[in-house]
Amino acid sequence: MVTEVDSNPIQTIIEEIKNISPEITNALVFKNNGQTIAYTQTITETQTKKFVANFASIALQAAAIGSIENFTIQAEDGQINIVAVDDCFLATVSSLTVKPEILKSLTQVVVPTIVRLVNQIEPHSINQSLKTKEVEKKINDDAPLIEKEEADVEPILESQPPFEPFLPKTPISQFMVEKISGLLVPADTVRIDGEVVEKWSNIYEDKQFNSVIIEALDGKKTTCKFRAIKESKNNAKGIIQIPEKILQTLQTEKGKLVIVRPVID
Amino acid sequence: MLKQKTNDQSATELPDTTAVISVGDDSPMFVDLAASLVEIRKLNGIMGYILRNNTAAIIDLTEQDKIMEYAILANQISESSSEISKQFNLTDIKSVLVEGKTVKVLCMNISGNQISVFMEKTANFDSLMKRIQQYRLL
Repeated sequence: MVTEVDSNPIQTIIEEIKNISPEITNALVFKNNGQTIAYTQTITETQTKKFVANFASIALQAAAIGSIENFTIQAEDGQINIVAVDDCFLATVSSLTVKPEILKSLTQVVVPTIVRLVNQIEPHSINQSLKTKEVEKKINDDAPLIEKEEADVEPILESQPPFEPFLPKTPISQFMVEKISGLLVPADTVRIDGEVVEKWSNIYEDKQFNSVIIEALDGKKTTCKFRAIKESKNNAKGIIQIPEKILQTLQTEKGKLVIVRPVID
Repeated sequence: MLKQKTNDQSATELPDTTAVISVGDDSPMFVDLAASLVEIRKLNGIMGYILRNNTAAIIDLTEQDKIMEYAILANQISESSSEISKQFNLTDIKSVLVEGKTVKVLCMNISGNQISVFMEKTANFDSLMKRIQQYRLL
């Protein structure tokens, strides 16, 4: 059965890649907010989500080098290449026998040209097809009826992590997790780099915020109270100290990254 | 504990503006790689490097204010690349190259020693990759 996603031109070219160069075993296109646009049938949906989440972890840190334009993993028995195309990424997995000129032509010319053309002709076509699929799924699941217009407001699939901050009004900060424990440590309160809290205070001069939303890279979220770390800046920079209970809720651990934004009262 | 190396402690002279931070005891392979990276550091377009293993680390970066960001990025590249490779049944990563708009990073793991070389976008990394990869054969 041809679905909305299957019928998009990017899906067609992605499926065709394997016929052009059988050495390219997998390919997928995803947006910089984590939405998958097209992928070869050789990849499962779970694999796709995991792949995008792992790449997002790197992309989130890549601001230091001016965001990712090209990403290549060379292994003994194959290679993975990810190229940025406008607001999308094209990923390919290929064996070492692939002809470099064919790989380059496909990943840097053919697919990018089609992605750009699709974006130019129908700027929202990709989102529209994903939205339609979402709405159909909701109706099929006997969920409470919602008007299509209302459904169109939220095109982002919840299961995939956004790795490009897209909420300009709410500051989103990324932190590395540290575990905090002790008798005097409240189980419902995290401690955050004081420098960041100060920035939030400057942005929201008159407004109060006593809690934050913490989101792990796999999309698990929780809301909790917070306190600023008042230690030396170098020790606390980029750090969030989280008690065991909240770590369990987020299913994250020391050294992992989380996204945090304040909840404005 | 982190300690700041002064220039006279280093094997070769480095610019005054360079931050060299080292920590831990060094294995022979680590020392060899460190010496090689000191030479690579002198090449045109090389902005610095991070070399670390389970017990030791050296950070030598021109942009001192970005040490933290670069260190987190290097660590994340290493961890996530490993996960991505496993997902597609790729074994033994030789190198990971991440190109940003302004800087590119070459990451390699030689016998448990994680190397991340930061360079300008236009820098040629082929020669330095060969140079580091010779240690894989040892």
